[in-house]
Amino acid sequence: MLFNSVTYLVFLAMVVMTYWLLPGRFRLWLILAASLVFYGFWRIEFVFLVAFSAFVDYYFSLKIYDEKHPGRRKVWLLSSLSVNLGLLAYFKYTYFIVDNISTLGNALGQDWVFSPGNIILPLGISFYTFLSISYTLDVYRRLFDPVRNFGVYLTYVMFWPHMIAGPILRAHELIPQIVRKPHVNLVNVTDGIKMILIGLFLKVALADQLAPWVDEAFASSPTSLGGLDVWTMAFAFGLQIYFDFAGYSMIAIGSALLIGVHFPVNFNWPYLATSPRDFWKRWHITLSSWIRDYLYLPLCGARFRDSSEGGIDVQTNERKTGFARLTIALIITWFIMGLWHGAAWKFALWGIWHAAMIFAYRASSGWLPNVPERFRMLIGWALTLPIIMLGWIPFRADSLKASLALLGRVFEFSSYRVLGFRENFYLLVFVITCGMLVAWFVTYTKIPLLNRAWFRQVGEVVTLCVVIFMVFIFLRPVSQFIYFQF
Amino acid sequence: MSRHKSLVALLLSMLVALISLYAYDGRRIQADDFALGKENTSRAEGWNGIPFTGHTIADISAIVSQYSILQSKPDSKEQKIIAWFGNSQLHTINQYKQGEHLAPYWLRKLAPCQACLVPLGLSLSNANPQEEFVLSQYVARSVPFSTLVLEVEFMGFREDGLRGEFSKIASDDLVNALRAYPVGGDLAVLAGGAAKKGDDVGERSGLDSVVQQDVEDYLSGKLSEIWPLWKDRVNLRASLLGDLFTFRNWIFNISSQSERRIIKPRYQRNMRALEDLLASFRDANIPVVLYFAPVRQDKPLPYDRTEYARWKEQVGFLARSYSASCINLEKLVPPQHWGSNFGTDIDFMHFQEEGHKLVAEGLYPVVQRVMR
Repeated sequence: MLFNSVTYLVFLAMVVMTYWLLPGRFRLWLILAASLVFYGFWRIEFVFLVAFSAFVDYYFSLKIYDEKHPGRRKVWLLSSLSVNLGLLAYFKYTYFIVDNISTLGNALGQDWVFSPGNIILPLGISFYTFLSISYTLDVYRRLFDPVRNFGVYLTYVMFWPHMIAGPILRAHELIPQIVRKPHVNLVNVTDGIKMILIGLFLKVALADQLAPWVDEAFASSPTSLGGLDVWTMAFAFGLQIYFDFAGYSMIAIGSALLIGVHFPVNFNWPYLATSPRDFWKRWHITLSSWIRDYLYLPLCGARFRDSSEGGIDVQTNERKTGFARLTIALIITWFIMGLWHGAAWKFALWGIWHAAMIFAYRASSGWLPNVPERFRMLIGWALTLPIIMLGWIPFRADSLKASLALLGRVFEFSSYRVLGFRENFYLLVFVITCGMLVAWFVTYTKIPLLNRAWFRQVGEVVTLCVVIFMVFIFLRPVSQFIYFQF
Repeated sequence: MSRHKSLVALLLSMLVALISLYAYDGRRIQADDFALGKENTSRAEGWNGIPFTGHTIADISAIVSQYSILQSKPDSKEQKIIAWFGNSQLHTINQYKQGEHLAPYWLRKLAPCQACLVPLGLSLSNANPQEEFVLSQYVARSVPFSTLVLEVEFMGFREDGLRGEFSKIASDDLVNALRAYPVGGDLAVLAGGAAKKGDDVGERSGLDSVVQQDVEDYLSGKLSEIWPLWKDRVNLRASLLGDLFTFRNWIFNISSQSERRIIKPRYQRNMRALEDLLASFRDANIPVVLYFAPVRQDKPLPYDRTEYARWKEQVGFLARSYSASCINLEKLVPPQHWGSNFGTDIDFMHFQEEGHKLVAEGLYPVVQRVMR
């Protein structure tokens, strides 16, 4: 079910009202039923796949927990990981693997052509696979006692606000919340509605309005574009994916809040980051902390008790790990992070781009020690924003070849004389970028006038009024969320 | 206390937003006025109750169906059909008065036998050559026309792609035939259900082929029935975008007289589409008449002079290369037959009825010659 639809709003209203009217013991089952309906609205047959995958993890986790022998525990763990990663590999990467084998065959003069048939990517598979893996690993590491009720576990995996595109919640964050029996709380309900409204605004009034411009721009031949065009495309898509995904996350957080479940924040003004590392503390925070805890730190040789949240931000020099190992871990992590986003080499390029930027940041972070902190942050932001935006080019371009061609235009200075788009496109991207900066400034400013209580209250009413006005006009399921394809 | 403040702020915002929506709905402008200007009127011509000009894909589709049936009748052998493609200039009359007609009507009147010559005026507002190419292929598959007339104007080369309504004519047959051309890709996308910007065809394209589609249609339909404001959202959207457009023009002091420049990638795609059109009809042995659309001469041209001259040169070159006739009607319509869009905003595109007559007279001898 798409969040940006009348169907979802009706569904949500019905579920929330029923939830608060039901006695506590039935609420968990209501959430599970609602989650099944929510997912079934997309394709009912894949509900069984998710349930099967969840059952395997549930069963194997109990085995891991009950097993005393370390070797056998590891076997159960590997079995669970194999099922999860096997399903992900089959549904998400079969075409990619087959295509690459075929390309390799061509290069070697062989005819290696396979037909994998018609494989439909189950919605949210990348996300619920991560949920399942973290659960099994936490049980294996004895950080979390497994639940002994399959209904509870299935509800954790399928909980509708986060199942399809996150936020990625760990078992210890979500399971205790869905098994307790909270009382209705006016603040949660009000805040939840506001979050949903703002999330819808970001999606339908900003992301969906940028989308046709971005689609048209990326459909253009790179040779007909100039350097400024590529920058504009990069910023346009950067804004689109931010509004789209942050909007989704806010609707998810707001929806959960309506039934008293608190989700962590997933986006925190990422384009105000002052370094590539800071960016990943602010962008898709639950994914970056997941990657850090279950991939990067183990690759660095850190102990599993290093589990943390808050992004791939580790003071690696404090660990007794060699520079080479850290660098390799960084590259592997980002390579996998890239391919997790999509089964194509352009996503790998996007991952490597970020690895390179984080590496460059680490190497240069000791420079300019005498420069005042504020000024350093300003320079950091002015460098980070374009770097991050340019990184979106391979993410959005049609292919690796197109990505390289577009990036090539940026460094071809004579191309800056060409303007390939309608004037409105440049204007739109400029206005939205400035709008975002102004919104951030007004939110966090220390100017006394703007911090007065009456100003804040009037500001809130005016902002919400504009948000509601725009959501009413633009609400329609004109497109899915970008992260649904991952 | 603060929890109540938060709730009050939310309820107050909802109330103010609702009042604003009703107020905005009450003062909205008509989408057609916005597109063409208040002084302009879109027209459609008919002969003995059968329309022969249309300015939407739905109109054009109906005309094509009708003439494909009429042409299959034995008594139609004497009838010569001209397919005339263009933009809103072809279907709009400035300061329209009852009883006035469009250029295709006047072309028909010029023929000695009015039943024998049928100029089908098939135009879309802001049409670009890519759209005209697809339309011409669509029409040619059903209606055996003997001549193609194409209005070419500089503004059309600043537009791009196919509008969403093209999905209505994007049959498998047409898509497959056009796949070899760059614009065929766009058409294939539309045939697959996706829509281009600003079109309501893609209102719920995020739900294509999922179970939610039917439920969404049902709920949204029910909501429209009981709440007129919900039903009016398409107009509200158009009004809001229109106001943003006006606001932008005010901020940057943009008017119809502001200089427009070419947008290179779009220009190249359109030039390529024009070439494809000329090549395909040369191969089909159907004569093509291109004409440079009349432009207002009493005001400075709102285009870059150099680019405009180069554009004319390139179009002329293409016409010569593909043996098409090319006539220049730029200066045909004198200043007194032009008008404005809104009040003092000068209209460079649409003229009064007299201009339509002049265009028909300008084209008639050439059409006669090529049809012979």
